[in-house]
Amino acid sequence: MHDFEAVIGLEIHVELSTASKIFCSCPTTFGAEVNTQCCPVCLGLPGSLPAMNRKAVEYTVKTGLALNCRIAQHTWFDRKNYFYPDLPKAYQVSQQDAPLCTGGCLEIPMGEKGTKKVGINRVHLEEEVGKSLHAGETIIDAVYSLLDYNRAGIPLIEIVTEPDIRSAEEAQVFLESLRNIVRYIEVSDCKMQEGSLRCDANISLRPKGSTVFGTKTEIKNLNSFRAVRRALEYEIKRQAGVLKDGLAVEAETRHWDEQKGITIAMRSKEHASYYRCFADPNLVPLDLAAEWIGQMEAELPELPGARRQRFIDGYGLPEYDAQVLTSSKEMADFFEEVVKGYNDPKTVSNWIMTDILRHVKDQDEETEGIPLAPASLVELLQLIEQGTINRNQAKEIVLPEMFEDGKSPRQIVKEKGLEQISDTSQLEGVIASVLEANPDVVQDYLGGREKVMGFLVGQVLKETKGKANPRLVNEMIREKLKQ
Amino acid sequence: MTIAGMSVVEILEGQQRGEFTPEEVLRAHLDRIEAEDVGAFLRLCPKGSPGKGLLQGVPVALGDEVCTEGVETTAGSRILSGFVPPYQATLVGKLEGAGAAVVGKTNLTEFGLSFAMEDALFQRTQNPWRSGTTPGGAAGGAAAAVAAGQAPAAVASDTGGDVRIPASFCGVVGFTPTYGRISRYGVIQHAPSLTQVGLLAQKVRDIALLLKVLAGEDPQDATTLPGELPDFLEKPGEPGSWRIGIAPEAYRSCAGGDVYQATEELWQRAAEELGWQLVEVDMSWLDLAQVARRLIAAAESSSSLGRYDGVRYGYRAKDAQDMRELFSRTRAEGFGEGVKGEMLLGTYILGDQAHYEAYYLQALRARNLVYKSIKDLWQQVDLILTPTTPRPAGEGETPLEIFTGPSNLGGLPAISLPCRLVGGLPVGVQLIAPAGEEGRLLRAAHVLEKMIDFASSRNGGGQRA
Repeated sequence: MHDFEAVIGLEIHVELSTASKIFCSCPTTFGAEVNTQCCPVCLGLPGSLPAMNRKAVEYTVKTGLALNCRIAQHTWFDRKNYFYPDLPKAYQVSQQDAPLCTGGCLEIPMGEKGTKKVGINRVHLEEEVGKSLHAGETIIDAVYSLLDYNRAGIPLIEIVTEPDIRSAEEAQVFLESLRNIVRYIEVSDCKMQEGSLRCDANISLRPKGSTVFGTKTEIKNLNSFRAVRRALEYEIKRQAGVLKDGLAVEAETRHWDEQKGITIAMRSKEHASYYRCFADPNLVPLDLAAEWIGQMEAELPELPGARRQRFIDGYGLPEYDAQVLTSSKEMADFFEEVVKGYNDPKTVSNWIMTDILRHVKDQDEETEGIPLAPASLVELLQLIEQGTINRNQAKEIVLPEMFEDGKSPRQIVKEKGLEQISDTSQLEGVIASVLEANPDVVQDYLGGREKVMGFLVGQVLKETKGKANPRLVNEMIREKLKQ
Repeated sequence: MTIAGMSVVEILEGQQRGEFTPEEVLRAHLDRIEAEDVGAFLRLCPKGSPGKGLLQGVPVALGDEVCTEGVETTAGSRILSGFVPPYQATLVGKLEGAGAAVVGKTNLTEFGLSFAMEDALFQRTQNPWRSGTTPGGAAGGAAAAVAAGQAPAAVASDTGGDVRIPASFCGVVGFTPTYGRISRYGVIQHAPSLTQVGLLAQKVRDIALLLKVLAGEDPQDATTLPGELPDFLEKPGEPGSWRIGIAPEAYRSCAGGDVYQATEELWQRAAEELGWQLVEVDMSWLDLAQVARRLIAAAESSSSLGRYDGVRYGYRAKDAQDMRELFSRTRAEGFGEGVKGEMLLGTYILGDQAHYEAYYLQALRARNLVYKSIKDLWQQVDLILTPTTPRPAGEGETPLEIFTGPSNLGGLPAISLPCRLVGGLPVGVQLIAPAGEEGRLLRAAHVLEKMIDFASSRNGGGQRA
């Protein structure tokens, strides 16, 4: 297998999070009752006409700009014609010949190897189709099929990479970086499990050192980052096996079977459909003024790369911390909010990267942000600093409760009776009785064995059920034995 | 004078003088529809006048490609039989907002794809001038209704002469405005890049009034033009001395001798009586325009009519075993032969990269060439005058749309006026203006109409038998 190099390109579809659909005012909310978010336009009823949603164009252009693309100043929309029940007009409005954005790149982190640029061939805008549910394996052998047109007409962008990706792992890292950027600029929520981010992969192998492309297959049905990685790993092995046996890889579309962990041939590319594309006369061509494109660029928020650098320069964080914290917009926002209230960036970073992240489920896949108010972490850190609770209590008892029922740290401390006793008058009696009960240990201490102090403090903590402030107890015993 | 048969303006004035009410007007037209069955209407939907406005109490017929909420709309195709739109065309709202009474839906050839009204699938529409004769198409029902006095005005779409050709055959006025002037939202179309919503009436004056009501930007149709239009003939002003482009050579080779002669006599009279200045121009591109328009219409049709698959509405084949059978049988059973032929042609010319370049792209280039040729003409002339059709109703070799198609390719406003009778049947004369110049077009047509005086002309006896 090490004789071959994998050549991978990705096609990613992202549903834009505009409030209304691309050509009508129907809402785009996910999970609504079937066929309740449609109208004559998105159902393609006879005589209905499309009216372009300006926001959808804006979001596409912003995505292109964030991916360093050139933005076309003159562009138009094509009809891609084919028959399928979930395609109400029997054509999909898309951009074949004049994509809004071309020729960009995305820099992805490669661990110790630094970063790598993956070329972006194009980003174009199109309309989403409806959703079919077949009572059977495929629509052809289905007893019946159900159709939901709520999704039809949601604005969709297609992002096509250059064949610059060389491993399954790189593909996954690319997707993570891409999703991160798209979420940073707030044009999509990119939820793979809801289908608002979907990925197809093209892959071929070639002998190492060769510059010619091998025959590629296209893998579909990749529903998670893990699936993308596993499917590509499988397909690399499969193609290597075919080539080593002296056979040829078939140009075909393959289906990823998540359960079995294999790809299965679906259809040959020999019979690739030709979509009879031509410019849709019902939509006027788009002419984007350079000033307007400039305005879109100015509206872009700080992107992950720039933010990572600022975290290093501005907060003095190590590169690793900055990388992890900026890997999702929500986490980076959370970090900055907490630092505003508790100005010790490294401590905040440590808390987020270890204890907080441990509580955030599914963190490598679909991080939905941190289900905590930044103010509550600030409060927790202040309680530790003020000596109200100790670090262990904070991590083991308070933080889990905060995640569980969203109570404030102060409230949890109160309900659990965790406040440390820092009142010397309360502690004096306990200390006196501990010293009295352990004359031998006291003698050892006075004789110079300072290590036994730990035992004495421990006894006091035991007596106070762990609530005594250990630092204070330590000081008080020291003081007392000086006398 | 009976109410049925009056022009729009005559009806409005009669109502104003208190001679009759909107209810009486509607009744008179419904009676006429019943008394003289020319097969113009596929169905009636009289609701009465919805209120006051510029067209208060004026009955208007709509081509059955215009979506009417709650009223079956088929575009002349079996595949849409039973389809009742849950929405209406923008233009219907505008008509009703102006007080017009939608009287019914008129016959057309299937999806308006054929100009030969004999191809209509649901019923035969007669030319009110001579029973057994075609009224021309695609909007044959609309033209026959106006000619027979069953509605003083009608609205129908025009992709190459669908309104002007039957207007010519039926002796009424047919008009198409600049592309985008009237919203196409809710108008069922096969070739949207060519579709202009057209108007039919007895008088040019009526057209100007209808245009004022219907023109204007529509947020639901991205191709509509901004701005409103005045009633260009409210105060017609001085008749202009226009420079008129004519191409005698091209007309002679395309039109029958009688039609050519009628047109030539007309422009000569216009030069003498109206002081119009005749300028001979080159229109050797007429054949090229004809082929380009045909190919573009076919290509767009093959895509636009794809949605009729039996899944969501309209005709659906019974007992299909799977998706493919449902699609293919629904379409095989639902479409007529002519439409299938057009879609096959369109699919062929878009069918792969080589065909796309050889046919579709070539057609677009030809369209551009024609567009530029006409644009250059406006340096020399203010209007172009042509025969509307190469012949009156009847058989012939030359495509019926040879003179009307070019203005659809260029999105230009054009109007057909009744010119005279040839062999007892009317033929029209067409004026074409630059884009956006509906005012010039209507003023000139208004003057020409007066000069022709079709209704009482000596040389034609312009009255229906």
